[in-house]
Amino acid sequence: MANLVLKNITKNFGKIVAVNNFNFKVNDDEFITLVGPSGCGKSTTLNIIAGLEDPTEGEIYIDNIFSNNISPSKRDIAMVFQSYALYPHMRVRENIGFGLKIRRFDKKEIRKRVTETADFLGIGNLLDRKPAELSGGQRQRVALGRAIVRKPKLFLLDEPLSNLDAKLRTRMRADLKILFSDLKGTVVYVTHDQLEAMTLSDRMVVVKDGVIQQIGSPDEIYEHPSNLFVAEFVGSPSMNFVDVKIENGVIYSDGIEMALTKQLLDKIATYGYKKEYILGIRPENIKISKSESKIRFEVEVVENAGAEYIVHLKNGKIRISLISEKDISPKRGESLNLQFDVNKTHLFDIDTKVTIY
Amino acid sequence: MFGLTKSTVEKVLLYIICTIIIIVVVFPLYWLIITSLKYDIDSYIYPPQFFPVNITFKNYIDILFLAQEGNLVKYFLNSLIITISTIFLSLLFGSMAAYSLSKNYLSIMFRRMMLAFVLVIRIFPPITTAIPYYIILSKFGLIDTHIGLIISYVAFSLPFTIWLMIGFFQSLPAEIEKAATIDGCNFWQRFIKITIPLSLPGLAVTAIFGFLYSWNEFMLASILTSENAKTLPVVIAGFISDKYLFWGKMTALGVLMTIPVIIFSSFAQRNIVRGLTFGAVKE
Amino acid sequence: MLTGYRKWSIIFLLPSGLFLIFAYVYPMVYSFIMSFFSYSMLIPGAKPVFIGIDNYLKIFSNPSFLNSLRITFIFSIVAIFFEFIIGLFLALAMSANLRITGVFRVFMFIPLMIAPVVAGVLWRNLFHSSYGVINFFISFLDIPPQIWLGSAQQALPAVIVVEIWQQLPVFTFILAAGIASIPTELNKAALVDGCGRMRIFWNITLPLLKPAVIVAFLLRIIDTLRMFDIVYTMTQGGPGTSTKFLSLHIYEKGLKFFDIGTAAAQSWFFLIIVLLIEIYFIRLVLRRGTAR
Repeated sequence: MANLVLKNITKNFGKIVAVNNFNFKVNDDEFITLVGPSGCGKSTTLNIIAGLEDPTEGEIYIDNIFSNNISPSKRDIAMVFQSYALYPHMRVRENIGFGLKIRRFDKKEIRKRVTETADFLGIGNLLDRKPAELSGGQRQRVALGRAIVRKPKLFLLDEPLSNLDAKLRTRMRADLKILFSDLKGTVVYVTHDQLEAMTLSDRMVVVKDGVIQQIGSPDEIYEHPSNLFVAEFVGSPSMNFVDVKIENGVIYSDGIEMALTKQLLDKIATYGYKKEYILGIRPENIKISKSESKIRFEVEVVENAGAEYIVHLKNGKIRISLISEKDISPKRGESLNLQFDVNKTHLFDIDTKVTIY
Repeated sequence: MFGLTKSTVEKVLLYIICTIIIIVVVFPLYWLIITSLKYDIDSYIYPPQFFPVNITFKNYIDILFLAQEGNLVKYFLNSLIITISTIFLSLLFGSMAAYSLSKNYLSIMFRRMMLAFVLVIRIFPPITTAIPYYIILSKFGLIDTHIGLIISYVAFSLPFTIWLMIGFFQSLPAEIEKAATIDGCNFWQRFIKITIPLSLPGLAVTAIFGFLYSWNEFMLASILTSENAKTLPVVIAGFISDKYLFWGKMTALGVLMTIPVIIFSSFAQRNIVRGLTFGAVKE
Repeated sequence: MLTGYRKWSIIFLLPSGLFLIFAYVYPMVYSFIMSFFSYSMLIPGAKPVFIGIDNYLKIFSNPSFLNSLRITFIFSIVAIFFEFIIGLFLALAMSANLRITGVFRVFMFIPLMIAPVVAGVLWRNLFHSSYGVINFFISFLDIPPQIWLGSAQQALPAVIVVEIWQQLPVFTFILAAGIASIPTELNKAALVDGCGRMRIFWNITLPLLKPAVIVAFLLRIIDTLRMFDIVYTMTQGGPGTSTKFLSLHIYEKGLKFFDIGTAAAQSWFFLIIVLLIEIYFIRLVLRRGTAR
């Protein structure tokens, strides 16, 4: 259990900057996720933390110790790989205990810990099998066991759920949450799945093209995204974006006329009035209004998602989606009055895509 | 062929041609065995006896036990010692070198150069090195010693071993070695506990080729050995003289020489199959 | 951290590296140096005499060397040609998945496991002019018994036959592996598109086999040019010099006549020819590939 500090970490592959000046701190016992689309540099960062790759620039501190020159085998970290990377020629028991064996732990101690860990993960009955005989979920738990048994300072997980099918993934996600809340440990988790990041983390680091976009708790990221990319990346179905004009304190666009609140007006004033903006609002914050409103859209298609409807609407060139309860059943072609929750409306600078509000 | 339907006529034709080829390939083998079981006199008969009337094991007994033929057992042991040593050393040194060359801890230019060096050596005609070997080894007093021949055989086998094992090491999933590193292994622990056990198929293939080469090699053996370290191929060639051809003994020795190769190959092949069933890392 | 790995990487390379240097670089350098000297080990107390590139120049006016070169080339070209054709046919047949192919595979391999010297002895018996089985078989075709190994015209073909018999599996298996790696969907797509079987063979199979063919050719070129064992036990270079392969020629020069300087020069000349051929071949094939 330890803290982790990344200071100015940069990694170049020739001309490509895979990791651009990462700075963040992970506290003791915290679960932090590096999340972003494929190829954004999160796995590279994880490898650097592990010591499997050297940073081009920057410093790593594990437990306040400068670790750049410490070999991965000595950093007291454990890693779970996307492909699990179990040793095919060893039984589960030996797979889990391998790290302890290399570190010259006492045989009795190894046996005890391995059995404890296996029971804890519910794979106690599989100890004498070989990896080839196990299912995907079982292999994943062996990989976890191999990491847990060593009681390391730091846990690194590289997309551990990506190879599982959807149902299993949901189950394992919950299991992981339970596991790491019971276990004491600092965790750095890498994934491209925003739902995993949201549900599992204490804090998230959103990355795009090697640059950190925002660091914060899931709620912070969800409610107050710092730019358009983060806003779009998190949340499913994703946020609606509309190009709008603002004149005289009113937002205008095809089908939209909405008055600004004082807060918004103040924010715009401090930011610098530009006239054109991007408006962002999440589908769950758009309601179908029973009364006349200045926001009118025509229904294009209604998706039946079981517990709710996802309604896609358009007006002119603008298309948005909303989530509606099943008591109202909109029809295709129907014209609806909508209401935007003004407190959950975001405005983005049309050029820099940074959040103004 | 491969997914295309054939007419019956074509199928029959194919069967016939293949059968002919099999006969052409197999017949000489049959002839080898048959001749070894004939008295020499019977080998001089024309038309040749395809089904020998008098079968005898005299040839085998003669070469194995008769002292004046030279001790076959001794030569057999020479071949065995030299072959096994060659395989062992070339696998050991070769896989170590291949491991080093398959990772990127050393600069890529250096590794490319090493690989080119290794491959170019493979192209050298053996006679080019045989003559200097003779001179140099005699200077060191290593002519007609096991060590002398082993050195030259290992030198010859290394390039192939290295080349083959590099390919093999690079086909192993990289994450397993990363996991081993994180588990605490240093360079050579990783190599011995993880890489080698997972590379048994590659080692088996290399061993087969190594066996085939050392066991059957003639030119260097005839140049670099005379009595002490003489190997089986040299013994066979020694039976050839202008006066008399010991067909029985030569073919008997030929058969005896081939049996270990077949045994070793099938043994090593079984290992390949076993190694491959370790399965992939992912499902 | 990486320095630790670098250190070990070099340590792992050392045994092989040292071995190859002492067992290859050293003898080659020695031989190279000797090629500029005149040195006959037959004469006791003889010392090497520096003669510059004389040994190399003499090669071009040395009829027996040139004869050996010619024989070796002819052998290589003819043997590889037939091995390729027959090997390709067999590889295609094997891919047809007839029930016979399992047995086939096992037996095809055995000639390769036999020592070349043994093959030489065996076929010497088969080709014997008085009591050999080959003469017996051709008598059924009303062909009179041939002299084979005793005839200057027939000895080389006989050696070629033995080489093909032994080495056929190499081409066969490399090509079979190549064929197996061609996805069958390609053939099915071509069939649907209306291609005849010959078309499929020429336009799909052969081009996709190119890598395998190249590998096989490169291997066989090196190996055929080295021919020694078989000819040593079958004909010893005769009759006359009709089967005096280059390796045999140099062998006798250096280790029978102990004319070290000449043998060294000839060895290096041989080596350079082989290298040039291999490089030329690789270039030839690569250029054709990029022209597509």
